Amino acid sequence: MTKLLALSLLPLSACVEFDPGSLITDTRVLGATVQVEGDLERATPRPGETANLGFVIEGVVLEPVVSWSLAVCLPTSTTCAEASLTSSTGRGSAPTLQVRVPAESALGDARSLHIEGVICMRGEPDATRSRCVGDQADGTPLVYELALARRDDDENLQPNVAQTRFRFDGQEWPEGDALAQGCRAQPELPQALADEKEHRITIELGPDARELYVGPDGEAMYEELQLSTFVNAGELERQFSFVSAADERERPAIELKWTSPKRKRVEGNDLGVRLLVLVRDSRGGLSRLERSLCTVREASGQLSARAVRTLDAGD
Amino acid sequence: MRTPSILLLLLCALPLVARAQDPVVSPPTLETFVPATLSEADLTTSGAVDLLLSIDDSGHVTDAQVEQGINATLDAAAVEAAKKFVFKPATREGKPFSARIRYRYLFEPLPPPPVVLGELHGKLETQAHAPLAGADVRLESPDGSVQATLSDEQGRFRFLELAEGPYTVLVDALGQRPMVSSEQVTSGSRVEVSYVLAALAIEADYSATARVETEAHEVVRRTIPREDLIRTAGTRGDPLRVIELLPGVARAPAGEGMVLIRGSSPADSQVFLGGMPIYNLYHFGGLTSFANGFLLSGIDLYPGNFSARYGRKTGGVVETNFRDPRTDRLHGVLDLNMIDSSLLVETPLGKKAALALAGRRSYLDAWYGAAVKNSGVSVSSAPVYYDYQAILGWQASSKDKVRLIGYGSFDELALGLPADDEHDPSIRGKFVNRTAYHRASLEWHRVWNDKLSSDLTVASGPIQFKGALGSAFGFDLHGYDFILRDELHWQMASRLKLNIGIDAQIAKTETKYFGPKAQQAEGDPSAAGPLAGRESTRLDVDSLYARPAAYAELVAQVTQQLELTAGTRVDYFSDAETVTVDPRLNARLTLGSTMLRAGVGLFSQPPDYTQTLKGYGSTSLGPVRALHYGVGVQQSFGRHGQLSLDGFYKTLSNVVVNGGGSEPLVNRGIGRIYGLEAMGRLQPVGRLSGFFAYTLSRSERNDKDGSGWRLFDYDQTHILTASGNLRLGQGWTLGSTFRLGSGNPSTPVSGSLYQANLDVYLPTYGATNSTRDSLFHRLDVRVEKRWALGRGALTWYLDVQNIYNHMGTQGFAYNYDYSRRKDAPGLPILPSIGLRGEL
Repeated sequence: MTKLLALSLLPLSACVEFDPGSLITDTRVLGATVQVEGDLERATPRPGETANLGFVIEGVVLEPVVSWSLAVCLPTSTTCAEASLTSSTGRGSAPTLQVRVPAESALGDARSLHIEGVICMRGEPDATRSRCVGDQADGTPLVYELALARRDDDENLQPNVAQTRFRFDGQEWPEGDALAQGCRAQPELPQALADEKEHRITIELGPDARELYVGPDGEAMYEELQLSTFVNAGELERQFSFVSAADERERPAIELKWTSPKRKRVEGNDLGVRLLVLVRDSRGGLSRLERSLCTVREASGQLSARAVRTLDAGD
Repeated sequence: MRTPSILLLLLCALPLVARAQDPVVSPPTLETFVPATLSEADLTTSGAVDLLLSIDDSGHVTDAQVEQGINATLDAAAVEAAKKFVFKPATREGKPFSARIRYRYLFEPLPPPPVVLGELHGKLETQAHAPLAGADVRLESPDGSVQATLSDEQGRFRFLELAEGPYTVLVDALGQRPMVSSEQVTSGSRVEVSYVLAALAIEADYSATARVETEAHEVVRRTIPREDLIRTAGTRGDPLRVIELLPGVARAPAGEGMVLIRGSSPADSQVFLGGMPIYNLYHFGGLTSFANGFLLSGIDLYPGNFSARYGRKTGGVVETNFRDPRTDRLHGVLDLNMIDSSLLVETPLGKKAALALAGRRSYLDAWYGAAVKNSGVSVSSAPVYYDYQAILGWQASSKDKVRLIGYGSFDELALGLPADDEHDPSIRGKFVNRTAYHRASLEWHRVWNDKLSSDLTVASGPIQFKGALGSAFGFDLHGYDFILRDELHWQMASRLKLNIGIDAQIAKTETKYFGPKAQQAEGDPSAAGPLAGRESTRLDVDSLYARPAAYAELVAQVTQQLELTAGTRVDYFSDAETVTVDPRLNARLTLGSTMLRAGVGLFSQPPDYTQTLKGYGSTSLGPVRALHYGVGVQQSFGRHGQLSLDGFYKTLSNVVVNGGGSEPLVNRGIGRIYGLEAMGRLQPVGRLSGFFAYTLSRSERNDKDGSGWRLFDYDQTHILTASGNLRLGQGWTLGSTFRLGSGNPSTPVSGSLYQANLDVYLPTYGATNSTRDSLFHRLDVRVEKRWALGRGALTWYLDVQNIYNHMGTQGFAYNYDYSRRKDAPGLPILPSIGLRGEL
């Protein structure tokens, strides 16, 4: 109710500015993916199957190194520390945990497995797996509920994002990696002036992006997709976008605005900007999409014809 | 005074009759007349007392018998006076002798003295029709100037040499409910008024349709005179906002309209309108209150140890009521300000009835859309509120008064929200907030005889509370309530009075709900945290709640100085299937201008209706219990000043806290609240009036979860308020209110837990309420100019809240993963300008 009242007074509320959650300024955990051994498209393992749980780590550098300590337990356990089914401790760019799902008889009523632990960007996990220790230690305590396929209705595939289309200011936005390969090597990527102006991003999902499944009321329904969007520069209008279960479009699409960074943010002539999209289907599935563009300090004759069109559209 | 006329009807009785053949006889003739001594109450009675006087030969009256009288009082007065008469004795042949004569003593009123300008003469009485002496009577002239006087021993007062025009009479007497009345004075005439003031919480009973309520005998009663209700700086003329300035009342967080009395949760206190509970005191979380301030008779705050008349709450009680519609002529008030407009019209209907109609509507919807245009918010239904009141008063007979009242309030806002809350992606999509209630009530006051009277109130109406927040949370509670209150007041003996009553509330509701299970928000900051990831439940239930109660209160005037009030209230709560018995005892000792007071009592409060809903809350919840102790002293300084100091201690048991197991809520918590309240009032001295209030208190809870005692969510150690008005003349009034108080407790976020399924960070908290917001201070200023226009007036006002723009802090704002925080600012400067026309 307090939340409702606060929202009633939305225009009266004062704003307090922080860097938005969609702007990646440091190494972060952005999600978790599950792949069932032998059926990589499936996100929900059955009893007795083995699944590989991986965490999505992003930072200002490519493939940042982190350390982790993770444990798996039944959700009925009071603490994972005392009754973990398995655990994983390590260091690298991709925290992983192999989970062998207990047999049907050992699961009881559990519909999921509980994963908890900590991923340390600096320092090392402590024995409780709840924090990091060491000089300037910094990390993320986390939990994840690994959904199980106890019935056929529970089986869930990863969101199918293969047919997703991106548009930048209305123009088709091809794949590429401006950060790894540089802007000059990829003239087909959109370019934007570092002038703090808004640009329009459209993400149009394919017809098979969502599965039909049997909902709690016994009726077939589409999955609700949650799109988490991140950039390493500029500012996105929001972090979260949704394709609701009631959205009946064949190719559901979301739009969001991106504001290019200030000129001083661009070192040299250009700055590669990566847009990262994580698509969750609310049932344990997660897929990843990326696009990138180039931000330039000033428009020049060196810009490709495509980039010029993009700039015009942005204006 | 009067001059009794004397007539000798029969100069001679038979034995004394002069006959032609008898010797010469002269009858007694009156030489010295002595006027009868009468009380003021008898001055208006006229008539004759026939006496048979025995006069001795010296001319003195040796005996006086009443042959035919008027009443015992006047008869005795006539006899007493006649015995002091001196006659020239009767003579026979020049010799005096004893004689008997018939003598008629006439009582007739003096003609009023002629007046040149207008005059206002009045008389004040208590409900027991005793003269009310020493009352502070103020007369506000059309130009805003004020005269003041005190009523004399006979309760009389007068104001002379008045120019023609409408005047406002304000009466304030110790132990009586303040009253206000409008009177019209015309040149060359003398206006006679008579007011009956109600004792303590009794409403003023001065017009043809006035009402009398049960006397209240609480330890502490804070009364706000009507004049102060609409002129206090920082309230935008909203009467009910003045409550927040009184001692014992804490400051509510900005944007959250609630009344926080003596360290109790808002839900633990109740606002009553004529004995009927009000659901929502304010529109939209505190913008403005639900009723037209010009229709309210006054407001009483009982911060603790309240009468057995009130129940179902463990905190405090605010009682207000609609005044009676004025019966003299057509009146109207039109108020235009930046947020809403209101209109009030009153008219007499014959000699014994009057009608008042009032309505208000906001125009937030005119600018809200533009204000949120760039925020990504779509407006489905712009915010709007309205309220209305209709009062029909009818003096059905000299002993019966009936009022038919209708009132209601409506708030609605519907938005489409983008998913732009980084902390909670579930806050998106449809947002709806609707509150509506309408009520019709019938009041019947009956005076059965000089010792027995009754008050019956029956009320009913539809209610709806609806809210939604995307797919994560929503509710729609609608239905009807029915309320019955019947009170009997019996003056058993001259010093003993009994008040008994029944107080029943019945509600039939349908509730649809989806969202998290019930959670006790007080003391649990996670209740206001992200909805994402919480276990959800869904409900669709019909409910019928019955909460009947009976109470009795015996008021004993043990001595002239000592009054004891013993009461007991018995409640039944059908939803909790529990009966509670709450005994209460209050005492007052008056020693001259000093009053000592003390009280102790038990109070019970059922769980909120929704907390016992199966599938949402816990069906096994029982009532919360509280024990109140209070002691205080009040000192009057003449007619202009008053100081009071009150201490209180409250213990709470069976407080509802989060269960943490299969039951989401349990009666496990305890609480303790203690403090001191000081208040000083300055009645108008010349052009200045005002008051100050200071509260020192501490409110703590122990949820019995192993974490020990903690501060209550809205605990404020120090609360200081000073408010005053200065009449500058020429209709100008300058008012200001300064408030200084401890910041609200706050629970810091100590870290967060990343929920990888949802991509959200769930905050983890440090010790509950272990930090405080910054010191709060604020100065509000109000400037008002009033022009008298014939029988009406036009008023312009500017009310500026927080004039030096000290925003302070109100908790913290956090970044997406709670690793960084900043102070969240409170409300900035808020000016409001308005225009009011009165007829």
